[in-house]
Amino acid sequence: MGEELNASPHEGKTIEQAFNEICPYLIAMGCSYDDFWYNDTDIAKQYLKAHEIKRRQENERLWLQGYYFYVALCDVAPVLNAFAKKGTKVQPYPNEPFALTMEEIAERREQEEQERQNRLQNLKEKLKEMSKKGE
Amino acid sequence: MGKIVIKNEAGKSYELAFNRSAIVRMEKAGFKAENIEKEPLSTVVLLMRGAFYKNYPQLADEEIDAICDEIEMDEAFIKAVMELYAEAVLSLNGQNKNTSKNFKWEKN
Repeated sequence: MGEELNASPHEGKTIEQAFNEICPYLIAMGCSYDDFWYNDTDIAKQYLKAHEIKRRQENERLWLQGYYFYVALCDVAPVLNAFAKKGTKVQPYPNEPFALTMEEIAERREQEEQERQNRLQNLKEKLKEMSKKGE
Repeated sequence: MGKIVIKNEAGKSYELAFNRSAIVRMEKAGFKAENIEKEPLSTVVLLMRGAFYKNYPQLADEEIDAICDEIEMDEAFIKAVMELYAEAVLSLNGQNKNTSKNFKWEKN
């Protein structure tokens, strides 16, 4: 889709025919019938641009879905091997979705750092207890 | 989207613009842009009527003609309206350059 919209309206057609052909595509993109026929002709460009953005978002979503699938497959791959050693286990599926935005990545790092500090604190307390017991 | 504003001495103004409905109505009335040199008079009449259809659909053709009789139709003005028409027709096929102008037209 899209090539239809690039066709010149003068190529053996009346302008009305060309508009009538384009109209359903624009309606499918979310443009209303009234906007197409009665509003500024430029409004359709915004719908085209929005459609392009939506298409890219959809493509990214599908890519991400494929990536999750790939990761899941890699995680279970060891047990799919017929010659796998006894006791081979699958990797658990990630507990949370991948961090995609910089904000999410920073949030995760902060969370990891907090967890690390907590573990360190616990270890210190345990060491303190052990040294008390030793005395 | 380009537009042309015409204003008379009394301060009455009209905003000329095209939409797809107006373009189709012009085509049905026999407007062909390529006829501007062969049949300039009738082509300009249809062009001007079309320029009013979007914002003034209530005006009859005769009323539009009467308004247009008061406009000084020089080449620059007709060219500007023609560009506005072309911009609207070609708005989706990527051939139109960004020619939007706010052409102010006043009758002296």
